[in-house]
Amino acid sequence: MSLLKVEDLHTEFKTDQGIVHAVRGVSFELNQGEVLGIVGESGSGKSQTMYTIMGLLSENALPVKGKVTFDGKDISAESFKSKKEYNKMMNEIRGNTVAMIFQDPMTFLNPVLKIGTQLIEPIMNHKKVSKKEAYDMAIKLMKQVGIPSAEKRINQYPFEFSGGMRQRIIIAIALACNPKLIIADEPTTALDVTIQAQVLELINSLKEESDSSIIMITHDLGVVAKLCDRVAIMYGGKIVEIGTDREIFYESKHPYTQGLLSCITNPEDDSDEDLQPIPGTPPDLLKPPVGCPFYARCQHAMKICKEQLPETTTFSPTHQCACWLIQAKEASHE
Amino acid sequence: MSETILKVDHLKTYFDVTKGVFAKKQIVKAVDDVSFEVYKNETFGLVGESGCGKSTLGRTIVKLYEPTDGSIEFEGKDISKIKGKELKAYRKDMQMIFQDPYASLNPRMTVGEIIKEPMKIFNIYDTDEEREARVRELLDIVSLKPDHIRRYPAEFSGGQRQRIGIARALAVNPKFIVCDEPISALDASIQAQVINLLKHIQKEMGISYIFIAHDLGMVKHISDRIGVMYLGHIVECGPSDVVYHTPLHPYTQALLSAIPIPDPDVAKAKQRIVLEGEIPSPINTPAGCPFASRCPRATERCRKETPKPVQLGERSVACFLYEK
Amino acid sequence: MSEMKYDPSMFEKLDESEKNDEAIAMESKTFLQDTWRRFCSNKLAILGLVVLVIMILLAVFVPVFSQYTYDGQDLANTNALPSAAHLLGTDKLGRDILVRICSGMRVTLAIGFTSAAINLCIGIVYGGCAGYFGGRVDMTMMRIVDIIDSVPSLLYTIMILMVFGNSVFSMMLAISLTSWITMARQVRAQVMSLKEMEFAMAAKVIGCSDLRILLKHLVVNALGPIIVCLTMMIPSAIFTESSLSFIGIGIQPPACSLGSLANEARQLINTQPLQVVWPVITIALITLSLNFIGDGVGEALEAKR
Repeated sequence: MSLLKVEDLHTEFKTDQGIVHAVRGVSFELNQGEVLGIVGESGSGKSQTMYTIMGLLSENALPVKGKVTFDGKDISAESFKSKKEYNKMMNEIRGNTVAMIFQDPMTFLNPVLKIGTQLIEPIMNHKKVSKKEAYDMAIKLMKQVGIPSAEKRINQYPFEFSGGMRQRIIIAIALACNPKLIIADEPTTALDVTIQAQVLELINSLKEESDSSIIMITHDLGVVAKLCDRVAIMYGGKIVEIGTDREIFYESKHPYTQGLLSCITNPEDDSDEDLQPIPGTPPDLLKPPVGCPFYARCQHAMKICKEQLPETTTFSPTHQCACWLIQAKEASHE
Repeated sequence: MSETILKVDHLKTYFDVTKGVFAKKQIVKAVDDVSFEVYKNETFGLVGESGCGKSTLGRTIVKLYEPTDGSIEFEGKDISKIKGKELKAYRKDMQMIFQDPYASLNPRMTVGEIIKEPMKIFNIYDTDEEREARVRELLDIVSLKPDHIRRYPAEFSGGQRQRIGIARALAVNPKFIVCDEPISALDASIQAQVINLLKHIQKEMGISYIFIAHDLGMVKHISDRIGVMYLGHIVECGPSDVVYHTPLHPYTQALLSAIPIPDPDVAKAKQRIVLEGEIPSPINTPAGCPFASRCPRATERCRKETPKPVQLGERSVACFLYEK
Repeated sequence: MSEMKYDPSMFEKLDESEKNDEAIAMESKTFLQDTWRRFCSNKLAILGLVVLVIMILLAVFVPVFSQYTYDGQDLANTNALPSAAHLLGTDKLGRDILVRICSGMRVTLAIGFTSAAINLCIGIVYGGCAGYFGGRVDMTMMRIVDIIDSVPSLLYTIMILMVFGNSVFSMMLAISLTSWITMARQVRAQVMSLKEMEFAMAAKVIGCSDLRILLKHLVVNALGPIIVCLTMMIPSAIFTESSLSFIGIGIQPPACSLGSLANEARQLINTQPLQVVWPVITIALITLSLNFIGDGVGEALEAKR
């Protein structure tokens, strides 16, 4: 059964330059216990998609279009009578069944409260237990996420923790309410390589132990390869390809996915050849292209690509791709 | 290998971070006794995690910081203490590309003004028309359009801005460029563009680079030789292929093992060396090997003495495990 | 596929020239255009600007074109109420209040703007040097500022007025000499944070001289806060001038400023309250509009991405 279902989601922002079309018709499904990676460059709309789903858009967002079903319940902004009602319901969901992990842990932790307070309160709220029991659970959680001498550190303030340790605290807070869904927005981007490895190992072991679903937003294909079961590739506010990890890494169909894979280096490879970069710059979503968002940088671009949005082709129950090349190939076979 | 262009010898850059007049003296040893050489036409990669002193080292070499001790020889001349006219002449040969494309361009100047400024300062051309022509040429080299010349940095994307920064560095025809994490703020598809551009420029103009980064994959790709830094020290230094395939220092081993491999079958099967603990604070570092507190193979001796670099063929390693 | 869904010609390769992969969607605007556009979107700031311009025009032209002069007495027509002949009435010596207020405004505005300009120059040079060179230079310069600041500014002002006499010039001198400190501190703080930015380092690496870095790279980028500080300074200079004139040690009659006009009218406050209202309203309008303009300019300069 799918836990989260998103259909034709649109998000727009009003800026003083004009209207930015950040998310332009995104649809996907997430199953129970699954890890979905959403990969894209900055400005591809990957974070805004998640913020839209969770009702966390900034003030200048225009009313959202599209349908979001979470755990069998319609939680799209459209379906609520008033904004107040929607916000009230989303607050409930965000605290109880969905946890979020952000890139910069400091935006999430309150700098003037002890780590303990910030951990114990959500536990007491969710589990309806006494303070003593909550304290014990907090210590257990801190140990679970690998914080040494948890009894001592629970009385410290966020500034006494390093970046990697803060990220662990956030993960502990996220786990406190046994969420059905964890949304992680670039959780390791701000960390150093060796610390990133620690946090990735932690997330990996959580994935095996709990049955929470995880949505992992990242630009790092290495992180995706390590953790994700399914991968969605976003470009220009749209999902251009979605599939299982092996379908994306070994059988990718979209030229953007292929380009992305060929322009990253594999340290195992010794060749001195030039990298294969994707030329140009991603489109500015202030004026998104009419056709395929990738046409201007695509080496296979055809006339139709500039004028019409590509149709989605299904290769397997899990693998879909939106590219005109597939139709062109079919046409030439006839 | 060809001749040496830059020789850094026992370089130290310390910062006094003592707060208040009566507080205990606090010294950050950002760069502590570092020696290495860069050859002509070569790229020397510097890798390490944040706070290891790699950026300070780069900035000391371009003379943004004064070295505390040691020498920096550029084309056989010690430049560690030069000032005034000599320094200005050195700046013409030694340029820098910065990390943050959003902060390294003055937001109040147009692209043309930014690239023209160094030419004006060094009086490279007589007339403004010649300078303007050269700006267009440089924009073409970094694949930007000539009509971008009157635009402001804020109108460009991150990758485009980084290319403007490269054009500015090239404006004075330098012999050496220190690239201070030029790709870490960019998206993957854009990183490859910048790396290819830098390689292309090196081939065409014969410029030597120091390439600083924390992305080991990219550093290996662009560098001929690399140095691995930890807490102000170079712990291992050698040709990049050799260091990557047979890392000797325990830190290099852990660092390489931590790279996420973009291949699900390999990545999901791979056992990593996951280091315990965090990077210690660089303030008033204790004696001994800088890595001793996290090293899985540390001994008593490592906590007391600082290992000297041991030369093993083409590379050097600062670790007691390899002492003869 | 049984039927051709698409025109096969559409599947021809797209010509390279039809791709613009370095396209920039944003319109190009110069810095001034952009700031002006942003400023215009702030209605209060525009209102402030309009009011201020009207005030300045009145101050400049009314005394020139009016049939009355600021010191022309008409003892037959004292303390007149507003009428067609005297729009704002006359004072106790029968002088036209409108003309007196406008010429008072001349003095007051001149003092305000000039002393703010002097403050700006001293502040940028002094604060810029302290912030840019840092370390011991900064330490010494800022301690000097602290010492100057530790003596009440009213004392200096009164002393200077005693020594140089109560002229407009000594008034400007007195106000500038004490209030540049705020500007210097503001500039210093801005320069200190900006000099750590990478573009300042880049300027150093491409061989810019210290002066060039300070003016062309640092101060230019600090203009937003500096202009806000400046627009707050003009009203404070006007206030100081008015207060001094009000307590009688400022501009001496028959010359007048808004402060001295209020002072003169104060003596008749029980019988002719309207005469106090005019100068006070004028001061309030000028200060308010300057504050609005300051806010608007500050926001317009700040918002640049």
